[in-house]
Amino acid sequence: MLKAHVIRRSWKTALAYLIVGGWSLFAVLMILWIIIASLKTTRSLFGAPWTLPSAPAFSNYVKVWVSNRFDDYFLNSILVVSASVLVLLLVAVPAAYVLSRGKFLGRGAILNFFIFGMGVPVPLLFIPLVVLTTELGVIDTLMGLSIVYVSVSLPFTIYVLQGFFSSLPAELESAAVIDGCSDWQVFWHVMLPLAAPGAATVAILNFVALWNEYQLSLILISSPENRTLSLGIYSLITSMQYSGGNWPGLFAGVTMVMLPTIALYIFLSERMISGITMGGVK
Amino acid sequence: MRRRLIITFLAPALILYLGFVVLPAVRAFYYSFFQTSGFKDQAHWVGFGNYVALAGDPIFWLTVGNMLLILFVGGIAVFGFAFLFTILINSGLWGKKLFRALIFMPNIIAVVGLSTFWSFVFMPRYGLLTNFLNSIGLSGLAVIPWTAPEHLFWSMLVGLVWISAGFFTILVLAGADKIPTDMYDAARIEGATNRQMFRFITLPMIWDVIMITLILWVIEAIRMMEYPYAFGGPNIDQNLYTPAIYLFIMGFGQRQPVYELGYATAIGVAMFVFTALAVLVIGALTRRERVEF
Amino acid sequence: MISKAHKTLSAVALASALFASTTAAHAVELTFWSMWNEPEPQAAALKTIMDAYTNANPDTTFKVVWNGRGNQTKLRAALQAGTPVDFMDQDGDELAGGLQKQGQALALDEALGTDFKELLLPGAYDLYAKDGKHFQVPYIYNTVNFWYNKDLLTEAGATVPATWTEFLAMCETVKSKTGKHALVVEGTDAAYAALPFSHLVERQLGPKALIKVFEDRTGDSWLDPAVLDSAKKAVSLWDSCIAGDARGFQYPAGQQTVALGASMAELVGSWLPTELADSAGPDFPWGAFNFPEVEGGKGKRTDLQVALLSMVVLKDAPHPKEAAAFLKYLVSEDAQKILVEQGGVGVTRKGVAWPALLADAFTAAENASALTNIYGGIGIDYADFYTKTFLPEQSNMFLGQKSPEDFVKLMAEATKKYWEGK
Repeated sequence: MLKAHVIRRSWKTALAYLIVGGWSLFAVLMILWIIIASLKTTRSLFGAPWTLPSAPAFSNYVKVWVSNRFDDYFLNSILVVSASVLVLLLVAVPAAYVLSRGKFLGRGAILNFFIFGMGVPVPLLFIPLVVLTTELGVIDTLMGLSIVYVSVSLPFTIYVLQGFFSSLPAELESAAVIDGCSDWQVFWHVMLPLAAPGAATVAILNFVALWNEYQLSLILISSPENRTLSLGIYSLITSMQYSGGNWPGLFAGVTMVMLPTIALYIFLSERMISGITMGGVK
Repeated sequence: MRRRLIITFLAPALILYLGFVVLPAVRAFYYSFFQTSGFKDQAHWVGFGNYVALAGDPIFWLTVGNMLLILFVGGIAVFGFAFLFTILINSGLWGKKLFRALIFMPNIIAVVGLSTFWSFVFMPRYGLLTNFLNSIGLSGLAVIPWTAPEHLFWSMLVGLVWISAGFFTILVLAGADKIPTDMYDAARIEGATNRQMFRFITLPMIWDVIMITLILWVIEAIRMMEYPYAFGGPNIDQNLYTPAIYLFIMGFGQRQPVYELGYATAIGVAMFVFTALAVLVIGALTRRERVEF
Repeated sequence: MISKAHKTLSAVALASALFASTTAAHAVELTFWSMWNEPEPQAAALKTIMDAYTNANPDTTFKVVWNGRGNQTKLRAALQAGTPVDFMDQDGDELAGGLQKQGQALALDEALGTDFKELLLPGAYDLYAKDGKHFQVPYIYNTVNFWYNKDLLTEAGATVPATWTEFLAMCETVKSKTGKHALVVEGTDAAYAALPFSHLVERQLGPKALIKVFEDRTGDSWLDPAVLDSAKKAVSLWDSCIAGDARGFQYPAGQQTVALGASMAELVGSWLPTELADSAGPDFPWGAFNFPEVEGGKGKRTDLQVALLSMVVLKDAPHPKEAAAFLKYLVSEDAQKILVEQGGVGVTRKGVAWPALLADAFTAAENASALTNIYGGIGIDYADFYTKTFLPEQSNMFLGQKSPEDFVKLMAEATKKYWEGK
């Protein structure tokens, strides 16, 4: 009796490992495949997509990095994404703090107003944003792109951060107030240090999201010298038409975009995952 | 908190949000009443003309159909997997964190990488799936062109579900982790099965999480663009059109010189209305007593 | 008389252009927005040409923005912002339906003169003319033919087909002798998939027939038996010419099978050898033959569908004269040879031989009896109908989800409805 139960249990566990493990393995397979594809020739990529290259063609990387100017795009991406994330934190952390801990009329309404922004489909904003940035003279500039990035990232960021602030114990705040701290001091010396892990998480999440973003940059950036990495990839794809189809080069580009996020992910996946769940799940 | 601090803290966020999200959204509504190509030509006021045209546009309804398929069929699959993984991972597997990280991983990869990978999986003759089916002797299935028009959407959906399931597993799993473990211990002593525990403990306890994740999914599904667009390649097949892709093609031109900015914006407004409606419906359907503990 | 007067006029125009450029007190910098990305060979060729031009005319320099293929769409935003641009390039069809249609392109007749069209391959200059005015200078020439692997055709012991019947026979021969399919298509690319049907209609009813069928506001022209027959013939390609799994090929999976030697040919533009250069290798035995004649049809085997790439001068260009003068140089023999050698493309100038790889296409272009825009031309003036109705329904028919009979009926109704709404 008991033995049968144990066998059934272990059989079930094995099945669980098989399902979860198979699914996970597929993710690893995909990463490996992209990297391997970046080292092949176009011919073997299409003729035998699931084999290893006979001799890895690292020249694909050199070509994309140098002649496709991925070195410049890399810098642009770093610049735009870090500046956006930094400004985003400067703007969103205080706002989320006030919206979660402040006591004033309309707090809930303003919070909801921000959260409502998560429901605005970004494609709706394409055309008005082109017109607006044109009027402001910041279209086709990295600064204009950063401003837009910060703005459209605000709803999600504030939503997550206010969830985080709400989960902090109220006693700390009141203790500080009793000790004679001003509201600014409470924020700066008590709440901000506590919020640091939350801020770090939204920073990572937004970094990854903006690093891979291409719709907004596609419509707002036109000069090649202002291209970000995802636009570099886009130009690799579009130049397949009428020009030599350099598919391994495309995958070399994808790998270059992917590696920083994967590196970030290996070290920080715990934090990222806990961050995503902070807003809604408290 | 003093008023001044509140204002100083809120103002920058509010200004950016109002200026670059709310104002453009409002202007989008306004633009949708015009007909213009955007080439410095005079915009014509057409009133609700764009919306009337939209209502009679079979392609628009095709995109809505695709959107609903993503929303419901994709949604059922995504949440089915999310719950399945939550149950399995929480059934005491070793390496929980590793699995959780790997399941989530596709979400950090550039969409182009994901979509080309999946194109090669489904590619006729040379694809992974065809080769796999051949190697296990199912040559009858192997000859099916998975990316032919009648299957194309579903092949796209498989990849989409694979990516999204990772994201939503994390959310559901995190919700489940907040449930006190002694509730499960008690249930186990009573002889409850895994399924019963999921049904009578996990599900009610994470109801609020489910509602939030549902809303997130609805928002995602309605504005879906990047993955299907990238999967479709340079001349995307209409079977893959979502409203957002249609908006992009109508407004920003593809190989065909269609430049209809007003019309494109009207599609965006329609998407917004869908989102608002869906969120309201979910709100009404999931209104339940919250379980407090 | 008239032509002489025009000649004098154009000589005056040319002289004044030269005069302006040589005596200008200060140098002119022309802003060029390009459809090429900087690392592409076509861009390299254009750079060489511009440098040569600056050498000869030290007053004229260039500022180039290598936008890539989305050039026209990016230019639209730039126009809104008031960015000054002198000239730009893009697919002629896209320009005709975009900038040119919106009145943002400058008419070049005065600057280039009436004899200009004599300099170019037959029909090229007039292809995008509207109401007798010319807005585009086509400078790269793409033909649509069957691009094929000569070795495979020889191996099958078949010859280049002149008629539809011979074509179908060739498919059978290739299949039985080599075990490979003669044709491949990109099943999910609706524009590519429209090539067999649009060619068949034109072989049966003559050049530009497809657009004429559509311009019959009653829609009845779709019910012409020749149109139905064209649809049926297009579908019959699946019987022995194309492998069934090609229905699922997503660009560029289909064309890669030609490079890999797994299919013999594809009906596509003359950019194919360039697009496949990487995977086919330098020694691939490329050949091209025109779409065959249909017995009893009005169209000739020498009628061509083409996709030219053009330059336009913008209406609000800061230096329109200088820009037009450069475009004239761009189609000079010297410049066109640079495009051939360095850019690896076919060109529009008469008498300038194309790269060896494209020799068959050059012959086709030299002997073209009539030119039609690629995919039949509906995509330019009726881009909305083409995108929303024609392409998807044509694909449904071609890929077997709708019968040819239902297709023509549906098109007749949709065409009627379209014109009623105008």
